[in-house]
Amino acid sequence: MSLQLVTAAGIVIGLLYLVVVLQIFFARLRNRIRTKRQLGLERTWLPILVADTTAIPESLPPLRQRDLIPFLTLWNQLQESFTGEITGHLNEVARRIGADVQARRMLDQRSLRRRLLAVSTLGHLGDRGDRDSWAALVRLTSDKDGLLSLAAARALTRIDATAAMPVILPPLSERDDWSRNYALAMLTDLGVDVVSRPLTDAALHFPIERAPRLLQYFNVAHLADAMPVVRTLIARTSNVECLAACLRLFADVDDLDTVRDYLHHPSWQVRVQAVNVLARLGREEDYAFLQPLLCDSEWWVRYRTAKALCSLPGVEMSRIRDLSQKHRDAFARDMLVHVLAEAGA
Amino acid sequence: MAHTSTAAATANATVSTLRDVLVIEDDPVVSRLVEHLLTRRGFAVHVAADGLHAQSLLKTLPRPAVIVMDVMLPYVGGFELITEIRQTSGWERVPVIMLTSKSQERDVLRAFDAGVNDYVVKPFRPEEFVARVRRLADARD
Repeated sequence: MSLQLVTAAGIVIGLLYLVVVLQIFFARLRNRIRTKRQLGLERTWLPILVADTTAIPESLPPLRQRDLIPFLTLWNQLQESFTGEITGHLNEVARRIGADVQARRMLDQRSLRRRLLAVSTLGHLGDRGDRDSWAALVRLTSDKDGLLSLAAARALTRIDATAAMPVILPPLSERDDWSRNYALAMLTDLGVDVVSRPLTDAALHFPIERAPRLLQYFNVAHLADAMPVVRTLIARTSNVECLAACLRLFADVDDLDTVRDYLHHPSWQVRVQAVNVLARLGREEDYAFLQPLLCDSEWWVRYRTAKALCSLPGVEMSRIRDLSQKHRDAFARDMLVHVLAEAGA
Repeated sequence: MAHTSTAAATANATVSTLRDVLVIEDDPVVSRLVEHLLTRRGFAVHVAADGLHAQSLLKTLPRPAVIVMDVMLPYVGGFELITEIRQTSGWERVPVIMLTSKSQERDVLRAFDAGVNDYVVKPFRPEEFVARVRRLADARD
């Protein structure tokens, strides 16, 4: 290798090193400036935003354009942290400095971060009289970005929960990019009284393939609304997903006859849910209904059946142990031994 | 980094004596918010941003009047920290308020079993929170 080549390689490595060092330096500098600006913003605005709710100063400091995003971020964080009277105070301050107008403008911007911030701000402001914002948020519930559409749904529920329900139920029943946990938390926050009837009615009247997604939120509905819909759907449909979702919701021994009808359904997803219900609600006589399923072709059905047999009231472990030794089917015997070992019996 | 702020210049302070509160919270916005709420009411606030830092403050800080802490903390969790606080000489009876978004009954029960004195769920009412801190601080005086 020539000296020239070595020198060139050394220069390149040195330059690369310099680039990395400069990048780190500028990243740190940017971070420090941002932190300093954020702290300055908090020093100015925190005392006003967290002041006694009766005391908003006559003149508020102007909100500089470069401070808009940090301010709205702080304001939304305070909205998420607080409850009670102070949220009204936060809204009053935001309106006085024109943050509501700015947020409405930001809805049309390209940056997802800014649009999310705008959606959240409008939701917290909760102005039902602002029809333009309401219409814009309704449109955003069908945005192709799942996060944005869900945030718009959340904002609508904050503005007017009852009016928002018919708007959010169609996407709730269709969109698989909506986080189930977030949607569940949102419905739980709205409360059973607001959610129950619209949710159960939608499950009954929407196309059947959309019902399973709604059925998974039925624990936020009154039983008196939910169970008649579940019984109607299970009688009406042959959709496997819907049947499985309905079976998961049975919690009354009066439904045991219906559940037993599904123990021999062609789909194993349905059979396994029927077995699970018997594990929860079954009686001693279900021993006879369950036992044939120990020979099921599907491992999960055999496993859940063995577990269900062990949990039936009035069925002694000695009876299960005896069955595990005498059953004619080797798969059934193996599964019973497996489940008994799990139970430490 | 831990930092400390006092309310010497706070005009609307309603507590006459300066008392120390240790805030253990990893969310900087929440910790600054709690700090602001407490300093304007006359408390001196020390902040630890994670469990490890809080552990070091147990050895160096004078015993505070009240500890306000989150459950989910980096490095050392809230429950482990409470056990340590209760085993630290002089800190055994320092009142602890848990300020957390965990609102399920089992979380609350676990916290009280671990030895916390009060439990505040986020989102919270700021004045009510300050009143709870003040009540526990007054009880220690």
